[in-house]
Amino acid sequence: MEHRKLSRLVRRWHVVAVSAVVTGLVVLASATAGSTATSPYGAGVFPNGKYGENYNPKPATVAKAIVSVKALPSDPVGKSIVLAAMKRAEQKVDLDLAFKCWKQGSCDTGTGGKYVLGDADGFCGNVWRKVTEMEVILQALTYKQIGKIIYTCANLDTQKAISDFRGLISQGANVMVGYADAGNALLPAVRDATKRGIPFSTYVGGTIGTPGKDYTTVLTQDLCGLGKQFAAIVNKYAAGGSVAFLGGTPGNTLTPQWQKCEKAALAKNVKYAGEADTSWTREGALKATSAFISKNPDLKAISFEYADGFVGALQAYEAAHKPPNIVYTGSTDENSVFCEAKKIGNKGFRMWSGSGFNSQARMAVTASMMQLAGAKVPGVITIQPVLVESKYPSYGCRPDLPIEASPRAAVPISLFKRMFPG
Amino acid sequence: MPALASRRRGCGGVARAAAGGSGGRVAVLSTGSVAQPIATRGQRARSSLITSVLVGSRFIPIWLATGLLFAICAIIAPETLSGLSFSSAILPLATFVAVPALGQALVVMTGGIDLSTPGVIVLTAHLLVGLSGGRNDRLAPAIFEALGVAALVGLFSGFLVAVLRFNPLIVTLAVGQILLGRTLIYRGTIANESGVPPALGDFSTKQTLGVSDIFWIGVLLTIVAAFLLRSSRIGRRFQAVGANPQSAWIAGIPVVRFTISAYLASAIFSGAAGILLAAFFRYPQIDLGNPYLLAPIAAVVLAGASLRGGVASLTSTWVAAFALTLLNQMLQVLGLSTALQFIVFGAAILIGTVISGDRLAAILGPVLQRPGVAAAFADPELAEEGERDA
Repeated sequence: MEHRKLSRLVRRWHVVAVSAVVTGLVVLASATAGSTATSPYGAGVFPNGKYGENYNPKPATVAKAIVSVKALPSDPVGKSIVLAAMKRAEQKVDLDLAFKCWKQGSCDTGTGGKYVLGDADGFCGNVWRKVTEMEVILQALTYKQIGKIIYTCANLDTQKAISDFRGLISQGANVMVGYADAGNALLPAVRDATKRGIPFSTYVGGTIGTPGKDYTTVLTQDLCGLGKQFAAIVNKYAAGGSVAFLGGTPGNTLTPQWQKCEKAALAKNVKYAGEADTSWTREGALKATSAFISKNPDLKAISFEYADGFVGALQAYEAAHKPPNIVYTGSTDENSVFCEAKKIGNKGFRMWSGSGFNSQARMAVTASMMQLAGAKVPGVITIQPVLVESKYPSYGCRPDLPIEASPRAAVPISLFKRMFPG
Repeated sequence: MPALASRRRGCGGVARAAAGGSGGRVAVLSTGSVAQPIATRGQRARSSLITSVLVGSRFIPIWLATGLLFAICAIIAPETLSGLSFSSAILPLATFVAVPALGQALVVMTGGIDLSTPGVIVLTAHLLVGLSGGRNDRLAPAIFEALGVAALVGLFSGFLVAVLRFNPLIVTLAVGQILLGRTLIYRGTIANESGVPPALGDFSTKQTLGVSDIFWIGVLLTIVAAFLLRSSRIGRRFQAVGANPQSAWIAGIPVVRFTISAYLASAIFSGAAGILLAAFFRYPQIDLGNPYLLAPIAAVVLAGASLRGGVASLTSTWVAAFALTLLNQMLQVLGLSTALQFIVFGAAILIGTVISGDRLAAILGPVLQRPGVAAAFADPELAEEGERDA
């Protein structure tokens, strides 16, 4: 009898012990979920909650911002940062406050948060910059820790860019983002910020100094991969013809990177017609394209990273009363090129483009905030190039958006209408 | 102002415009004093012929250079002169340089300079978009209103330069910056579509005789302006002011008013260029005016005008604008790298300045006035008549 009681007791404790171990293992597994968890975005993505972020945005949100989930960075940490930024883009914020901040250039968010976000922009003279400024504001408003936002614009004046940057620090900015138009001239000020423990993340505008050491990170895209994608499309649809390359301002560091890789990847039956700088203006593109089409009757493709500038190329065809039966491969996606193509209404015109990457500014805000939360942010976060075709007849023209805006911007339409009334 | 009656005509000097040739030539103005003998008919005839040669020689080089450029194009880059490139690109693009250059020439004649051209262009283009709201029925009023604003800008610049005697380079540079800033603000308030009315956009693609209508507008403006400058009373007085402001003032010409008019005209021409550019590109951007800061000035100088003031030829200015555009396009067709294009373009402008009409006139002037050479210009009949008069 005693023996039976003892056996029952042992069995009971056995069950309890096993249950406790199993429970403990389950808890442990949950706590470390993400490293090996089934994130829809692949292995290595941070678990939700880590560094105060959620890493599970809707795929549609990601695709809207960067064309496709395939464009996500390949490294897990960079991917996590981008996903966290996109998840925050889904959050609803006070649009009236956002508009007020945008209009005034600086504002108190009303949260009492201890962080002051400084946004040092090198230029503010076009719609892309204004929309990007709004993206920064909308992203910042999702962080209760950010109590104030200050925006500066240097209008392409290097001296002003440097003094704006230093001015933001003296106004108490302790987390910063910006577009480094001034290039390496900005480095001393940037390094000063880093020494003071202020995270600074830059986007789109190219790499300055040593990212990861001189400052937090640079959000960029794989330009060589972009050139190879251009070549793949050109080889498929422009075989037997020639392709011309248009570039930006003379001596810029962005254009040669994709042009070099595209040229190397061109098929033997595609003739290289040459390259021309346009200063990223429509007039420059018009002049260059006029020269190309007069010299190359077999021109079948044009590659140019800047979609709005390519409008000038289309206008060259219009002025020449020649249908643009060509393939266009581009990187950005300003509404203007879609609407111009729709207006021309020529079925023989085909175009592929990527994203305007206004969202990179959101990613920069999140990268800086995650560094403050203790994350080891990689020095370079690279978005993979993914191109999609915009098809005849509408080509995706959005009459409800400003002509220079990117349809991929994560700014609500109601806010767009207030920013650009009409 | 001196109380001398010498301001009146007949007491000292008379400004007389020479006839014929390219628009905008003026005879040498002589103030003279009552004590000096009145020039004989023979002397006046010789003087008139020498002046014609001297003045005309200023403007010949650009015509010759353009002809040479044509020939070079035809040989090394014939595609530049193809219909596609020539009529659809070069001619309209040349018009965008030529139209503000016409206004610039008038300002340069007064010894000034106008650096507000890019600012006026971009503001006018955006005003056209904003005031018309993209509607055809608002197109004409919007054009007039936009040009009206341009005129006000010109009046303001002219007042600062002519009345307050501020430096024109600083004034117009500052005005240009203010206009750019104002346009940036205005741009944020205009419609999403931010385009010109469809009628204006359609006009920009129309052609007459196989050439863009934008080109014909530019030609019309040049002919009208050159005719007014050369043949009208106001034009001749303007030339007198350009040739010698002090003498013109003594002769009773309101120099200040004419100087202000030069800046007014320059701003209106720049505004017209802004409207044509807006028509061509349909969605004007903030950098629309940037290429037109120095190009019109280069055209004026290459055409033979002196930056110190004096005579200018509007038709030669048009030719110079065309030559600059043709050269630029030829370099693109040749496929030269941007670096080489900059070098060749700069060298061409330098060479053009070295052998410019202004310099040629400076060399020819003393030569033509030597007694032996002057005698060679004498008309024997008039010379004999002159000696009888004497």
